[in-house]
Amino acid sequence: MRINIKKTTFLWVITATIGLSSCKKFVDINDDPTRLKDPDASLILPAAQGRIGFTMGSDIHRFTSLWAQQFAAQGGGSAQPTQYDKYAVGEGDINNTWAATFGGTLSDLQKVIQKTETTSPRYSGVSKLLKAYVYQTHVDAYGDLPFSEANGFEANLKPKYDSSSSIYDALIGLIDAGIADIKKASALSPTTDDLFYGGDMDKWERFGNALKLRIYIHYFSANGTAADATKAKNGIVAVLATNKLLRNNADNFQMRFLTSANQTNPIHQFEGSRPNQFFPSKTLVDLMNAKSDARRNSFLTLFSGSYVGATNGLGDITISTNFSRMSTYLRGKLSAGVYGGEAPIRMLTFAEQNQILAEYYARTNGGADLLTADTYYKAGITASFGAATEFSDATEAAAVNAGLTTYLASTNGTIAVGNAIQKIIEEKFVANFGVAIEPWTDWRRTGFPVLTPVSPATAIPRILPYSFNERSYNPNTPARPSVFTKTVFWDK
Amino acid sequence: MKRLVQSLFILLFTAVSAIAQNRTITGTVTSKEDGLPIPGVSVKVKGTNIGASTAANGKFTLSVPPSATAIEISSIGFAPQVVTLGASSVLNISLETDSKSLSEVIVTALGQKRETKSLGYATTTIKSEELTAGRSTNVVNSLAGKVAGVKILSSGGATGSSSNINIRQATTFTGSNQPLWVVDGIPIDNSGGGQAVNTGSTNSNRGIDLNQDDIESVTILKGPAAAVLYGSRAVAGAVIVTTKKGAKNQSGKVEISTNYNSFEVNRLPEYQNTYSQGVNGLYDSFSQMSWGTKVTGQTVTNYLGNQETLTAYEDNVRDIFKRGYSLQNNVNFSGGTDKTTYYLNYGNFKEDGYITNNTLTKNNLTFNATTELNKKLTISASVQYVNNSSVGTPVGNARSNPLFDGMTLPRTYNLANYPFETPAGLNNIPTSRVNNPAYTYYNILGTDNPLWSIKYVLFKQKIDRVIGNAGLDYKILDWLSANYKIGIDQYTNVSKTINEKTANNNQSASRVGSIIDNTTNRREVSSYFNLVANRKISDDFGIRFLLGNEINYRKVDQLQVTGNGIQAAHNYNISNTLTYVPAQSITEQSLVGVYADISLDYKSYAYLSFTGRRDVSSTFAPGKRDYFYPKVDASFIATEAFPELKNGNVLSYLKIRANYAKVGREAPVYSTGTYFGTAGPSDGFGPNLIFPFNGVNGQTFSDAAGNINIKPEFTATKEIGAEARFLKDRLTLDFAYYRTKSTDIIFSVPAAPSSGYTSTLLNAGTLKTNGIELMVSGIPVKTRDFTWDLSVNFSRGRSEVVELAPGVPFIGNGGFTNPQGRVVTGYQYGTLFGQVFKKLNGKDVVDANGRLSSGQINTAELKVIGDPNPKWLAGVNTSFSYKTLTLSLFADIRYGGDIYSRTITDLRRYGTVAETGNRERLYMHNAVYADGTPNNTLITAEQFYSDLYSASAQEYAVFDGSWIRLREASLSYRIPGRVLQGLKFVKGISVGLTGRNLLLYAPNFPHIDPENNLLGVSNGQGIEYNGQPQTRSYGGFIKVSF
Repeated sequence: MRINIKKTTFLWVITATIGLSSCKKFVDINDDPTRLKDPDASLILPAAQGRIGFTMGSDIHRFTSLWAQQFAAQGGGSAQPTQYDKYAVGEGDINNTWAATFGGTLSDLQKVIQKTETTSPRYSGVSKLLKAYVYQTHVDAYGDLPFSEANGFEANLKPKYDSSSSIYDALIGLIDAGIADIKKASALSPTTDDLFYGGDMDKWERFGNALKLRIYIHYFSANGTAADATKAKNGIVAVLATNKLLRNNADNFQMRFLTSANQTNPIHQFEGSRPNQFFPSKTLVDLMNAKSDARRNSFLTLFSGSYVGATNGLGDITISTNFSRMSTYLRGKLSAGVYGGEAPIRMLTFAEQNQILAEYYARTNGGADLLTADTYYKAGITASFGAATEFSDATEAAAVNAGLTTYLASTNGTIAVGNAIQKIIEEKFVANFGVAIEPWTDWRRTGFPVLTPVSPATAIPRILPYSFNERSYNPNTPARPSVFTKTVFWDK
Repeated sequence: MKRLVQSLFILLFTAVSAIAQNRTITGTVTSKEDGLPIPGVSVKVKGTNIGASTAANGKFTLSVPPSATAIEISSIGFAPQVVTLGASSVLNISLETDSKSLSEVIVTALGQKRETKSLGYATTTIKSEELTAGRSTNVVNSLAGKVAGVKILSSGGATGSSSNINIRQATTFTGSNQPLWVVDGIPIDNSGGGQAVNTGSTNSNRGIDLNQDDIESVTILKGPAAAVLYGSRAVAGAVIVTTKKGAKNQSGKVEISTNYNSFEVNRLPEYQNTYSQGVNGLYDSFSQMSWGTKVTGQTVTNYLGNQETLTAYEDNVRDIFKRGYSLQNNVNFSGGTDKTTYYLNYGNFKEDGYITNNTLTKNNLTFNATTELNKKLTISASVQYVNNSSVGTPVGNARSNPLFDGMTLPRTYNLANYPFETPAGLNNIPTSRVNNPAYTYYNILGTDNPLWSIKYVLFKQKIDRVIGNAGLDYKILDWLSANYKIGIDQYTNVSKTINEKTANNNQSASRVGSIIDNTTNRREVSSYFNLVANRKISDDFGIRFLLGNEINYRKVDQLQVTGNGIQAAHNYNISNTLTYVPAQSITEQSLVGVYADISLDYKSYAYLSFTGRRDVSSTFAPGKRDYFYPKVDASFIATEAFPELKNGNVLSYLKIRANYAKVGREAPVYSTGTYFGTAGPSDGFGPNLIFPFNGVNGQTFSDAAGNINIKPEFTATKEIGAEARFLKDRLTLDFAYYRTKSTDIIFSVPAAPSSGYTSTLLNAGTLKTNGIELMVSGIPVKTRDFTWDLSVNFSRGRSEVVELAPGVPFIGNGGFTNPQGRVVTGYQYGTLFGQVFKKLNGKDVVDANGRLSSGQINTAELKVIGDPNPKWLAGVNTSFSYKTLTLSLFADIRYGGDIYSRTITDLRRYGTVAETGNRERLYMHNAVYADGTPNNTLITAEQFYSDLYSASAQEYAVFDGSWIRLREASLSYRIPGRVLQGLKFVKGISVGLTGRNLLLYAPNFPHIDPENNLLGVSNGQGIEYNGQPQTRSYGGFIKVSF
C-alpha cells in the first residue's frame, strides 16, 4: 500500500481549517429543540388551572382540613399528617405548595395575562379571575403576601409583601378587570383548554361575582368593626345588583378529574398512596350523625354499621383504622369496590354561595331578613344534597335524596334567631367537605363549628407559616411568631 | 545487584578485542525476577540508530558495526542496561524490574508521554494488577483508597451500584465534580449513577461498562494543572485509562483468565430477640414496631387471623439476602511484528446479586492494532464493543424499596411464614386493622412486602456501547511530528422500569402500577490534532512545543414513555397501560479548543512548562463563548543539579515541583434561556397530575430561570510538591500541597418563589479548597527471593464556601427538606443540616411529660447536624513476595465524615436492635423543662428511643462514619517458567485468591457499614436512607497464557 503523504497532510490542514472557520456554526447550537420558549395561551391556561385544582386538593387542603377538623390524621408519628394534625406544620412543609402556587400557577397566569391582555382579553380575563381566587384563598391562609411586586421574574427577585387587607381591596378591582376583559372582543377564546368552564364566559362572570361574595363575607368576623360590616354590606349589595351569580351546581367553581391513572383527584390519590393516614374527623362525623345527615351515604363509608370519625391529634400514638373513610363524594364512582377518582376538587360551590347569602341576610338589617336568610340556607342545603349524589349509584342516590326532605323539614333545615350563624356555618362546614381553607377561615371568623384543640395544644392555629424557601431568599418576608397568632386582617 | 551484573559483563567482555567487520550478535533477554523471556525489549547499538527488538521468546539478532563498543537494552518497567561488547556473539541478558527508574515515562493529558521527572504537577498511576487485586465490579471502586487525594464513595452494595469519584475536593457548587474519563486518548462518558431521593432503582455510573481486565493502567491527573490540556471538562481532574496493547515482535500469545467471587452482606444489625412486634408492650400484628410483649412462646393471632406461636426470628433480615457471585472470563489474543501490534480480547462478566433478581451481565469485545506504514507514518485503531444488561431493585425513600422496612422487620415477623403475593401475583396490603387471610403483608402503612417488590418491581437496563478511535502519527522531521486522533463514544441505553400493579411508590400512585420505557442515545465525538516539536537547542537546553486543537461534540437524545395504570398484571408491554406520558429531550453541545504548550528543560534537571488554552463552548451566548486560561509548572531535580546531595547514599533523588493553573468551566447546556415545559403538578406524597389532561396539553413556565449573560466559571489552583527517594530508592516520599479557588461559580441561585422563579442561574460565589497529600512507600525487606513492599498514602482536604450570591444564605445540594446537605457561606461544602430539638442552655427541652415530643422540635430553622467530609483518608498497601508467591493486603482508612443514617434511626425507633432490648428499666432524657429545671421524668425505653430517633428530628441520627477496612486482599502464585517447560504450549500460569472488604472496623457507626450514599454519584453525601448494605467477597482466579 502506498500512501501519498503530502496529499494526506494537505487534507489534514484543510480539515482543520474548515473546522475552525465553521466553528461559529458548530458552536451555535445552544437552543433547546424540544422545549418551547413562547407557547400559545391555550397551552399555558390548562397548566395554571390544572395546578390550581391539584394544589387545592393537596398539601394546603391537608393542613387546613386537619386544623378545621374535617379530617383527622392516623398512622403513627412517622406519618407526616399526624404531625400536621398536632399543628406541627413547619416552614419546610410549606415549600412545595408555596412554590407550586407562586412559581407555577401565578407565573403561568402572569404569562397568559401579558400575552393576551391586548389581543385576546378573554384569556387575560379568565386569568385575572383565577389569580383573584388564588390570592383570596392564600391571603386567608398566609395573611400578608407578595402581590403588587410578585411574579416580576428577573426584574424583582425579592418582591415586597402587601398587607392582607390591601390585597383584599385590590382583588375586587382585579375581579372587575377580569370581568371587563372577558366581555371584550377577543381574537382567541378559550374552549376545551378551559378545564373549569369550557370557555363559558357567562359562568366565569358568575364565578367572579361569587368570589366577591366570599371576599366580602369574610369582613364579618367575631370582632369585626362596624366599618368592616358596612364595607361588606355595600359590596354584597353591589354584587347582588349584577344578578349574575352561580345558579346551580353546574356553575360550581371546581376542577373535574378523570378516572385515568395520575389524572384522578389528588385527595383520592393520597388515599391510595398513603392509606390509613387521612380519615374523616370525629368532629365532622359527629356533627352529621347528630343530624342523621343523609349525605353521610356518599360522604362516608360505614364502619361496622355506623359512621365513626377519627379523633384529631391521636393518630401519632393511638394507631387505628377503625373509622369511616371518605366515599364517592370525594373519590368518585364506586365500582366493584374501587373508586374512580374522578370527583372534582371543589373550590367555590353554589351551596357555599347560598350559605354566604344566608349569613349576609342573617347578619344585616337588624335580623329583619332572617326569612330570606332561611331561604338561602335551605337552598344551600338542597344544593349540597344535590352535589352529594353526583357519583352515587342508584341506591346511594336514593338514600341521600330521601334524607333531604326530612332534613329540610327538621330543625336542621331551619334557622332561628340566636342560632342562625352557628347553623349556617355548620351547614357550610359540612357542605365544604373537601374544600380547602374556607372551612378553617369560617371557624376563624365565627368560631363555628366549635372545635377543641388537640392535646397538648390549647388553641387552634390561625395562620400557616410562610415557606422556608421564601423566607430564606426574600428578606422582605415578615416574621411569623406562631401559628396561633391572629394574623389575617379579618381575623379579629 | 544491577551493578554486580554489569560488572560481571564488563569482566567477561572487555578483554575481547573487536573485529573489523559487521558481525551478528544474538541473545536472549529474560526477566531476572522469574527467568521468563521478555518480548519487545529494545536492543540498540550505543551511539547509533541500529537496533532491534526481542521477539516473544526474548531472542534478538543484531548486526553490529565494528566500531560498536556496547549495546543498550531497555524496556518499560525494567532498569535499562548497557552491555559492553566483547568477543562473544551471544549475549544473554537478564533485566531487573524497576518501576521507579529515572526515565519513567507516563501518559499525561492528550496521550502525551512525558518523563515523570519533568512534570510540575501530581499524577498517580495504578497498574492493572493493583486495579484488579480486589476484584470489584465497578472500576471506580477499584480505585478506592489507592490514590492520595482521590475520594471514592460507593452508593451501596447491590449489583451494579454506582460509585462517586472525587479528586481533590469539590471545586464547584452544584455542577459535576466528577473527573473527566479518557480511554486511550478519547473522552468517554461516566455519567449516570445519580439517585433521586423518592424514586428510582440501583443504577450505575457508565464507567462500569469498562472491562477492568482490558486496562493496562489508570493514571489520575489531579487537578487543573495536570488536566489543563483537556480543558473545561477536566477542571475536576481526569482519569486516564490506557488499555492493553500487543507488543512488537511478540509472536501470537493467547491468554485465558477466569475469576470467580462469592459475596455476602458484610455487616447486618445486631438485633434484640426478646420482644415481639407491637407497641406499648403489647403484641400488634399490624405494627412495624418491635415494642411488643416479651416472647415466651405464647399463642397470638397474626394479621391473617391465624393463631401462631410467637417466636423471635434472629435471621429474619439476613434471610432477605442470599449469597451472590460474580464470574469474569477473558480470552485474549495479542502479538506483533516489528511494525505491527494487535490485541483482541473478549470478556464476559456475570454477577448475581445478594438480592434475588439483581443481575449484571457484560460482554466486552476489544480490538486494537497499530502499524507503522513506513518509517514516518504510524496508524492505529481501537474499538471496543460493550453489551451490558442489568436488573436492579428500587432504592431510597420508596415503599417499594425492599429495605424500606426490610432492615427493621418486626423481630417476630418472618417473611417466609406468610404468602407474599396473592394467587394472582399481586400485593394485598392491609387497608384496615381487621385480620384478613388474603393479606400479603402486615404493614398497615402501605409498605410493599419486600419479597414481592424484589420479585415484581424491577429496573431493567441494556446498554450497547461502542468506544473507538483511529489515529495517525506522522514524523515530519526527526524533531517534529504531527498526530491526529478521532474518537467516538456512543451508546444506546434502553431501560424499562416496572412498577407492577399494586406497587406502592411514587411512580405508581394509588397502586395502579406503571411502566417507564426509556431509550437514551448518547454520542460523543472528539477530534485532536497535535503538532509536537522536540529539540535540543544546545547540549544543555531542550525545548518541547505542542500546538493542538480539540473539537468535541456531545449529543444526548432521550425518549421516554411512562405508562400509568397497568391493566393485566405481569405484562410489561407499555401498551398494557392506561395513560401515556411521553417525554423527549435532546441536548447538543460542542466545544472547540486550541492549545499550546512550551516546555523547556535545562540539563535534564530543571523543567519549566507553559500552557495556554482557549475554548469556545456552545453553552454560552455569542460573545461570551470564548475564554482563555493558562498554566505554568516547574520541576527541579535537586539531586541531579547538585549530585553531592547523593553523597552518603541516603538521598538518591529529590525533586521539587510547583504549578499554577486556571481552568474555565462550561455552563449547563441550554441555560442561556428560560423555557416552558409540560406541566406536571405533584406533591411529595405520590399524588401527581399528568398532562395531556382531558385532551389538552399544559405548558408551564420554568421555575428555574436561565441567563443570557452567563459566563465561564474559573477554578485556579496553586500547588507545590516534592518527591524524594532514599536509601537507594528503597524509600520513596511524595508530598503535595494545593490550594484551589473557584470564582464566578455558575449555579442556580435560589430565588424567592414569589418572584415567579425558584432559582436563577448566575455567576456568583467563591469556593476555596486546600489539601495535602502524602505518599510514603518503601521496601523494608528485599532479598533475592523475598520482598516486602509497603506503601501508605494520606490525604486531607477541606472545601470552604467563601461566599454564595448576595442575599443567599445557603443552597441545598442533596437530600430531603430535612436532613439536607447544604452549601453555606463559612461552612464546609455539603454540611448536613437538619431539625433539632429546642434548646435551653445547650440542653434539649422536654415537654411537661418529660418527652421530646413533636412539639419540642425546633421547626423554625434547620441546624448543623454534621459534616459529611472525612477529615482525612489513608490507604495502606503492603505486599509480601516470596519468589512468585505474593500476598497483598490493602487497608482503606477514613477518619471522620458524618453520616445521617435513616436505617439506624428506624432500627432504634422501631425497637428492633439490641440496645433497645433493655426494657426492664426506665430512661430519662438528659434535658431540661421549659423553665430550665432539669428533667426528672422517667420514661420507658419505647418512649425514649421513639423521641430521640424521631424521623423529624435528626440530630441524634448522625454518626461518625470513620472506618478502617481491609478493602482488598489477594494471594497469587505464578507458576515459575521452568516448571512449565515441560508443557509445550503453556507459557505461564497464575492462580490466586482474592478478597474484598474482608474486615471492617467502624467503631462509631453502629449496625451497618457506613459506606453508603442515598444520592449515589452526586455532590450530596452523608445521607444513608434504607440503603443497600455493602458486601464482603471472596474469590479466586486463574490465568493461563499460551
